Amino acid sequence: MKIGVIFWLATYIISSVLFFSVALIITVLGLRDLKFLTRSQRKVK
Amino acid sequence: MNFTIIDWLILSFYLAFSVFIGVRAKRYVEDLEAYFVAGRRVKVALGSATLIATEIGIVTFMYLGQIGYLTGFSCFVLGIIGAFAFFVIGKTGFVVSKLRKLKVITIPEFYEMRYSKGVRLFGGMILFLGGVLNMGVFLKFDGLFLAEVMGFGLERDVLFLIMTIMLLIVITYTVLGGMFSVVITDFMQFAILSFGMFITTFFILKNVNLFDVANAVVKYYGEEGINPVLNPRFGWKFLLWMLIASVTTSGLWQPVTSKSLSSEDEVVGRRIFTYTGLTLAGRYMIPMFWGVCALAAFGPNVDSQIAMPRLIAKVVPNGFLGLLVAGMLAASMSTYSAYLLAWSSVATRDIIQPIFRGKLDENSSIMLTRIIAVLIGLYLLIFGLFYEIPTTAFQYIAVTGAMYTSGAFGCVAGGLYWKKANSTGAYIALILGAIGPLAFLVLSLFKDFVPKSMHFLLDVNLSGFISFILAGIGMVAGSFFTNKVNPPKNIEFEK
Repeated sequence: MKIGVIFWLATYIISSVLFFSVALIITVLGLRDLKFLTRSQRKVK
Repeated sequence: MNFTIIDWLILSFYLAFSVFIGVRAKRYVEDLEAYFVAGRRVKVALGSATLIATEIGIVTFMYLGQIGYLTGFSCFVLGIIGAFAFFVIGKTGFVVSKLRKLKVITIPEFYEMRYSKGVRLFGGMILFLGGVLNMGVFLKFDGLFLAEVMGFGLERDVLFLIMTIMLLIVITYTVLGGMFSVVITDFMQFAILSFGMFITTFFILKNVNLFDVANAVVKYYGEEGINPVLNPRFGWKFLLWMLIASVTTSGLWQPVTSKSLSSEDEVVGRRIFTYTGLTLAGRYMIPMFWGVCALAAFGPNVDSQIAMPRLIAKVVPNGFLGLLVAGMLAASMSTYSAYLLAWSSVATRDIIQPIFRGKLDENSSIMLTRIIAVLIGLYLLIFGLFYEIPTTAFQYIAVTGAMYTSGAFGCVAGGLYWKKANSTGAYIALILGAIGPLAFLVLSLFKDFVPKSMHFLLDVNLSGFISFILAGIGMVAGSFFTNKVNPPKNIEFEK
């Protein structure tokens, strides 16, 4: 049972770190993509 | 009341800013493709942000928190299964790459290309029904979460008012700016919700230590809290169903797939799935862990639906609470906007348009989509507040999703990868895929009148799992036996 607990806690920690790191990277790179999306699209009046 | 003036100010500023950004996006909508799939100009990072934001709402936190509270660590396996499904699609391009090549906007459009107009209409109706039933419980869980975290208690009138305002904001920018508004607001909401998740995790871990959490799981649930196969809520049947459902739902669930269909090309579409897959295990396990922490903090006898938000209200200080609620509302708004757009597009393009035999022009089509989005919003308010779900929220969401995805999996996978798939097989797959989940939902309403010999139909895991098997058999047998009288229609892919 102890191994199971350690396994799930380790999996949780790795997954959380991965989530927050990728979220940070996506947020930074997403700003560039957002500029591309809005600048390349013709504005309609 | 847990909310102070600072919390209200943060929340009001966020809501006002969302409206401003969302409505501003209307100026980029120049045609049908711009409205429904953002002109297919979405790149990897933006596509990943919007896909993650779509699939995280308050309801997600609620059902994942609830299942964490009820099953301990054993539910973490769902995060691994979900991540696996996204990686499979990202690496192989299974279904999504070919659909992107065909430049469809909704999945039932593919049914018409490959099968017939009738299959498109029928498939569109099942997709719409499964989709709106699935979305119907979102608002209820949003209400429960906000009641606990903001400290309204049972003052449902105030809650109803907040939820109505939130829905009105989302409907306004979704109907005006279509996918452009959805993508731009999703991105902003993604950043805010990630920050909200971070501060919640920080304050929970500051107040509840990992040893107490591990001890609580072992004390209250024993082996069942660690091994999903031994947990009576899960077992092999459930895990197999989740494995199949994760791959199919990831590739065929309209709000998710539409993000891939909005991408620049199929390579970008696949990458969006791979990058989203990197975050998926965390996306599941972070709120599940909050639920497990609530078990450690309050013991196993609190209402499972409100245990996790009660813990948040207890540990997150004022000021941060406003930021957290803004983050959670951001999560919900991005989900509502994508779902509203997805289901209203399906209703317009796949149900109403085929009935009018394609006589609707672009402007009428967009206008109709806007009207249907408003009607779905009204339905959400009514259904969400009065319907009592018959199982855990997670399983309800999964079984209503299966109503469509099981049949759609047979039709789309069969249509893309098997030359003999024909319209008879498609009809049978759609009917057999919907029948198990529908039987479960209807019979649950009349549980006391169901004879004992038919109690297996009340097993949510069995009805979900069997729907995929039946749909697969229906597609293969239906197409195989009618291939000569109803020859399959084939489609050409661009090289």
